[in-house]
Amino acid sequence: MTVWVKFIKYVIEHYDKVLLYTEQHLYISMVALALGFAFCLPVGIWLTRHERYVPLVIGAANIAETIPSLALLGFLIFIFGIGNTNAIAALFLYALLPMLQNTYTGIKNVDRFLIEAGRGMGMTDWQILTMVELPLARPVIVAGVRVASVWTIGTATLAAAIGGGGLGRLIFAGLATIRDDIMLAGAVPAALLALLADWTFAAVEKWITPRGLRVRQYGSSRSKTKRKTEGAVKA
Amino acid sequence: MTNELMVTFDHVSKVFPDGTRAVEDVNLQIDQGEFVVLIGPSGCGKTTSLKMINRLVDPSSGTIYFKGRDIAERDPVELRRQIGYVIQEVGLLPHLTIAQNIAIVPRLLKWDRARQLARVDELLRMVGMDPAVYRRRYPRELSGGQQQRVGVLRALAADPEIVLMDEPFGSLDPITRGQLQDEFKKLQAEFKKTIVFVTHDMDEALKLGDKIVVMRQGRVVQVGAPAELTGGGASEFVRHFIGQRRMGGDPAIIAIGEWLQNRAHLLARLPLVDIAAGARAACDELARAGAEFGLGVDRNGCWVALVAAAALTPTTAELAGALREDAPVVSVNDPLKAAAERLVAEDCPWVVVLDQGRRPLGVLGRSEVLMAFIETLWPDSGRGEVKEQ
Repeated sequence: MTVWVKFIKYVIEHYDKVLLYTEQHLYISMVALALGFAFCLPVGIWLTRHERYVPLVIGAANIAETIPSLALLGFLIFIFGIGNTNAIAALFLYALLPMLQNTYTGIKNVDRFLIEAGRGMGMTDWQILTMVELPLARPVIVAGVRVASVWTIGTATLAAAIGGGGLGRLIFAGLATIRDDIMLAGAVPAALLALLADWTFAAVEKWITPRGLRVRQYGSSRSKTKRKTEGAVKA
Repeated sequence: MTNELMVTFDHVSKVFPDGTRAVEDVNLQIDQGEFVVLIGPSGCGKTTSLKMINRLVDPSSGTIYFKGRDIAERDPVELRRQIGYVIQEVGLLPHLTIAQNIAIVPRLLKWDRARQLARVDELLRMVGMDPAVYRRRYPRELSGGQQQRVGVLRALAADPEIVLMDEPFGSLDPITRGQLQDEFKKLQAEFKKTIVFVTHDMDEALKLGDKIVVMRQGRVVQVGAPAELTGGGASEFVRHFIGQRRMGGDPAIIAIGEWLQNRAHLLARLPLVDIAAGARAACDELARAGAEFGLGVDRNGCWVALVAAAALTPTTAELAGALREDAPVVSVNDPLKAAAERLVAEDCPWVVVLDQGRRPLGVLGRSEVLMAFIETLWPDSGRGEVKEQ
């Protein structure tokens, strides 16, 4: 019990510090996430049009995923030096896989008949993307962002190890000084941030799902346009 | 205006990159207002042919003209907006309402909103769907039949001159399919669109089409009106494809020989009498057969006249008095209608049927001719077989 009491006491006494690090933490993760999304959306769409690059690009994102976080952070020092930039770059790489994969899979899973119907009616490629594919793939794409956000916020604690900010500062400080309360002051808000991100994007996912996909289906399961999400990374 | 050409296929072939020869040297003319059905077994090239009209597939060689213009020179997007398109899978966008789905092409054509909405309501009313109820529904809330009704309306929305339909009713249950076919036939009679319709269902083709194009292995095997296909004109493959069951059609077109194909037993055999052999031989021949009449033929077996036993006695010297040259005669190539006309005109209980070489095959009674009419006009009615005599 005493650990938790001390932790609460620490947070109250150093709330400005905790707040600052939380802010930094959120900044690092969200910038990495935003950059990742800005990269993955067009690249994911591009991949659906250039299938032969899929193994290469998704494979590369997979490899980035397998590199241990600390090693990646350490390696990136040679490129970005120490500090937040390095951390953002590493988190960006981590965020790629779920978002890339879900953008690609989400669009690929749109029923080909719908695309053919669109093309047959005289939609341009751009109109097929914006009027057919993206509206239907939206929930799957957001699910990828949701997974990436949780991973990013969790991994962002390591930014402190290479001179970056964020709640990792408190965790490392706690570890170094063998102070559980300080460590918890970093770990608990980080965990809460991850949960918050998860809930937020879950809400976005629901809100962004077109109403036509949420309505009750006629009869039993007649519709042939059932949306598929298999193969996509689901939160 | 009815004979204005809408679509012309000029020596069109399609070879897919994998080497599949989907369509080979197809020549076809589709007139304005015509309902053309492309039919054949799967893989016969009917769908590929259809998709070449709106450039979803481009031909490997040959030219397709739409209203006299080579479609290869036209922007496919602009071309497709002028051509209605209905697919078996319906393809309504599930995230759009019924109204939004119907208005897709008008929207692509940048009609103003009021005009789009008015058009949607007009179309929904046309098929008896209350706009107030259905406008704001989503495709998933509709039954399969209702969805395809909307699919058809969507194709008609921008009032295209031609509508391409790729097995539109293929995935519906038989009852719904029949309803939609009837409805669509009515719509078509009203609007006189040019329709190119792909199906593998011969019943559907015969029911809807003005012109049926039978395809096989990428080639056009036969083109004809439904009655021509079910009548004598069908090739072996077409006949096989139609199936004997479906030999319905127009008695004015169906040849007697065609109808008799599996019904040879319905022909009553009368003894053949060699006219040249004289009266005595004829009399003996008829007496042996116990027949009242004989079919008088010459040395080559060709028809001469009917021989009446009643006018012959063993002592009759001249056969001429027993010959009835005004007896009703038809050829196997004559339509069924001719047999009926002869029966009525000559007030005779039967008509003599001759083969192509004018050799008599037998006689067809009144009831058999009547049955032929019933079977061809109403092919689905009970198969009341006339008992073999």
